[in-house]
Amino acid sequence: MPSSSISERVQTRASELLKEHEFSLQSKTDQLFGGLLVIEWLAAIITSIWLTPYTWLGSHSMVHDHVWSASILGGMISLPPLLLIWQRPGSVITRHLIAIAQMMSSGLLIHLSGGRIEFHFHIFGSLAFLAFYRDWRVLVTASLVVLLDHYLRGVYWPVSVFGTTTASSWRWLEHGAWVVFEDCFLAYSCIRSQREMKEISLRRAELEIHGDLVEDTVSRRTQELADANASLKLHVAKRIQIEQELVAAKEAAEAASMAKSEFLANMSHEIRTPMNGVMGMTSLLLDTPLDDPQRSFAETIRHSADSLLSIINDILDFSKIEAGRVDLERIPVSIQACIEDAIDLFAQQAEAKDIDLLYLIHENTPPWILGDITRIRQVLVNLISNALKFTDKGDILVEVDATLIPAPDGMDTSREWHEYHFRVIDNGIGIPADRMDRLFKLFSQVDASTTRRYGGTGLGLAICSQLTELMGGHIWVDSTPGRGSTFHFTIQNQETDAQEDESTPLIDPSVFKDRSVLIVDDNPTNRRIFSLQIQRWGMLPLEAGSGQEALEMLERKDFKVDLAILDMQMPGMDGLDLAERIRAIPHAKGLPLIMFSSAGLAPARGDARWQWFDSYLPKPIRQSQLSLALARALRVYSSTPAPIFDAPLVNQQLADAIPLRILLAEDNLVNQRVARLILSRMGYNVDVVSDGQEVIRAIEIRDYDVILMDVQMPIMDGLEATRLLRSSGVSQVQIIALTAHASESDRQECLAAGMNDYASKPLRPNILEQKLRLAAARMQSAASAT
Amino acid sequence: MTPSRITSSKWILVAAAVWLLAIGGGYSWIMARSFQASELGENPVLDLKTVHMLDVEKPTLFVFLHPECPCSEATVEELARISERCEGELKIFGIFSDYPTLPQPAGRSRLWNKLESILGARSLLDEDAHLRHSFHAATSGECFLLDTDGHVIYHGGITSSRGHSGPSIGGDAIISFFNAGNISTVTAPVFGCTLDND
Repeated sequence: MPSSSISERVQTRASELLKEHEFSLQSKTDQLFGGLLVIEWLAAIITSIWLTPYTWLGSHSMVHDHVWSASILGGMISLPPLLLIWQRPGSVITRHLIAIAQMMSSGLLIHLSGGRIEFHFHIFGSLAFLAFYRDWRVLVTASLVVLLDHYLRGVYWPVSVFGTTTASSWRWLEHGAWVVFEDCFLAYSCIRSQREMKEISLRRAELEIHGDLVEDTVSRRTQELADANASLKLHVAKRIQIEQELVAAKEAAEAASMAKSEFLANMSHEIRTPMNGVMGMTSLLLDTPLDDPQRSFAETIRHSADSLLSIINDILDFSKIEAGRVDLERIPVSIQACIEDAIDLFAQQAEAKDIDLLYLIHENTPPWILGDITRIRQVLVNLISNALKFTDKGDILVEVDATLIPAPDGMDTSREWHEYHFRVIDNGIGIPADRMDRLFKLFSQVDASTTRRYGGTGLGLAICSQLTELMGGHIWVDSTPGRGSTFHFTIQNQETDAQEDESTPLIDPSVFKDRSVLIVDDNPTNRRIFSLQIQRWGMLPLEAGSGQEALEMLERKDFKVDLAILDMQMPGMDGLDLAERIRAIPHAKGLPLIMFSSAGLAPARGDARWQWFDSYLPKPIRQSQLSLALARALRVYSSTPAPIFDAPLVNQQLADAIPLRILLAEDNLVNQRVARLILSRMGYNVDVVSDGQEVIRAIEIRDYDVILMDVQMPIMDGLEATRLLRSSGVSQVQIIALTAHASESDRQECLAAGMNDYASKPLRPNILEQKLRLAAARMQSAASAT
Repeated sequence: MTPSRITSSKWILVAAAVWLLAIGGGYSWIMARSFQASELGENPVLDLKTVHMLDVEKPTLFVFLHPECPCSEATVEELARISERCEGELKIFGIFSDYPTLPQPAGRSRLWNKLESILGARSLLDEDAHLRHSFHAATSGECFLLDTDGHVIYHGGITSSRGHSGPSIGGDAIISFFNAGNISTVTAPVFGCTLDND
């Protein structure tokens, strides 16, 4: 709206407001004067009756003229203005008549009071009261009445107003001047009040007009908002629709993912079932008399089956990680045991390739953590496997240290958190720099020739990468082609108190304190690891890189050493030759010697020179075994070393050692046969049923110590049968689940149903033996408890 | 403010004019009544009793009053002013007429006592209207100022109008006589009620 238009509206509205205000003010003042005129009229009557009730003619009295004057003239003065106040309040003529009447009343009261000077103040008070009208013209009217009264009195009755008959004809002006004197102030006051009223009206008008404008603006904006809101609602509705479509798509994708996972699990199961037959039968085949080509073929079958199983496991793992279905455990884990377990798996392979498998746990590494040992070991195994695959000679070192870190958000802060940095160092073929970035991607290897030469699916490192991320870390690699690679990975874990563990050194390290040890090994990494470890136990390491160097040191008469560890395989002079030469040194004949050798070269091989050794330390180095070997050599621990031999695949005397009544529940005929044969080889007579109901019936007929229960069976599956047995009070029998479903959640489900243990298919004889031994131990423990 | 203008209809103006005239008439009437003077009688003939009332050292003012009349009230108020201005050099006798119709005897009226409280003034009851007749006084408020020898110095009223106190020609004349030694006028209108029943 143009500003000129607004200004006009303001002026118009200000004028209206001023009129309203004036009318209100003047109407109220009219009412006040109406009351005052009535009071004055009554006062005049009362005054006249009180002061001059009667006039006398001698003894005769009559009503005084003043009483009549007060009553009649007073009424004549008051009534017409009262009529106008009633009929035309706020009008101009009303207030002017009131002004005249008020001045007349003053005159009447002065007259009735006998001309008392005090009553003259009524005139001045009335003028001030008339100023309430904020209209100076009313004062003029009132003052004109006063002046006219004085003028007429001065002319006709000068004594009545001036007290003398000889007053000047202008004296009325003197009296009038005092009235005008007051009028000036009152008029000035009226004019100022008028200005203020005008300003107030203007402000009010501005407020109103601007208020209206604001209201219009608000109304317009509200409409705009309503429009926008409607548009937004439409938009939101569309978004909701899209969201619903997205949710539906997500659900469809999840269903597809679920179906894929289900498919993978089923596929895993379906593949494992025939694999069980292949692997079981191969194991059994290898335990039969075979000529060399036949054994070679059978071993190839077993190796291929192992590879296939590894691939299946990788695919299953990957699908679970992709689907976010991997639940990490938080249980106490010994870092040392974890590494040693991983290394042990490759001991034979390493020996076969003449590669030393070593590990080094730095001192700053808390030995026990809360973590998922399975997943940590899985990463380690994968990396060690790769290292072994791509290394032809030298050694593979697994190293770990730790750095203190703040607790991750939302995690328990009662114990300190560490970032564990694992390194798997090899001196293999290395990886070109431009190929490193693809290593941790799915189905990626260094190049196609790698697959051809070394095999593998390319899933292993991708799974490692995802697992390390799940454990709060990451994985990367440093490598120099031709010189080797170092695979790093980190995980974040909370430290915890030490638990009981078989790998913990049995020997109190204090017995080794201040003993000196000569370490003879051509591999500097081995020497370094030995040195670091024995230094931790308070021993003094001395190193020799070859047999010749060791002999030179020992031949010196001033060279004092309490013990020597000799590596078996050294270039030029192996451990046996060195031992023979040492024994030839007169002052070293009694020096305790420890043979450090791979299992394949163990004492059982029958070389007579083994007798010169006081103890034997198998590769790879394990702290507990090193501790034991040192103790035996130093005669601080007496125990015959455990015989090292090539164990058969199936322990054929197991049933003699651990007699058990076993029920096998398995619907698949091949698997039935494999399991029955393995158990028969172990010396067990097994009853076989093919579903859960038959298990229930068999239990009613005969007592069993162990039930090997397939999980997936027709009619009644293994889980339901187990629940039924447990709920019916059958608690002593040990139930071991057999299933191709190999996940942790499957294991938990089996245990929750009441099963005691779990073995995944394909069934391996050694695993089965271990499970049976554990079951027997549990039964014995339960029996002794009762 | 919008200029104030008398914009009323014609009849209101006419009515206002009539009203003003009526009031003017009323005022004129009461003013005429107030300034309606009574006629003065002849100078008094003093008898012996009256002569004995004269003070031998200062003038004596005889004032004839009605006990209930407002004009007498105004006169007594004026007497108080005159007595104060004459500083006790004037002997005043307030001669109260007595009538059987009065609400109370003249000697117990408020005006009687009021006069007694004025310096040099004394109230006298004019039994049988003896003094009033002697002095030929017919109007309340009528005064006679006599010297020590009984000669009339002033004869008339000392109020400006009926029932109105305040400066008046008569009052000022008496005061000027005592202050200046000569009197400005020997007579002035008297505004009062009739003392006789006639």
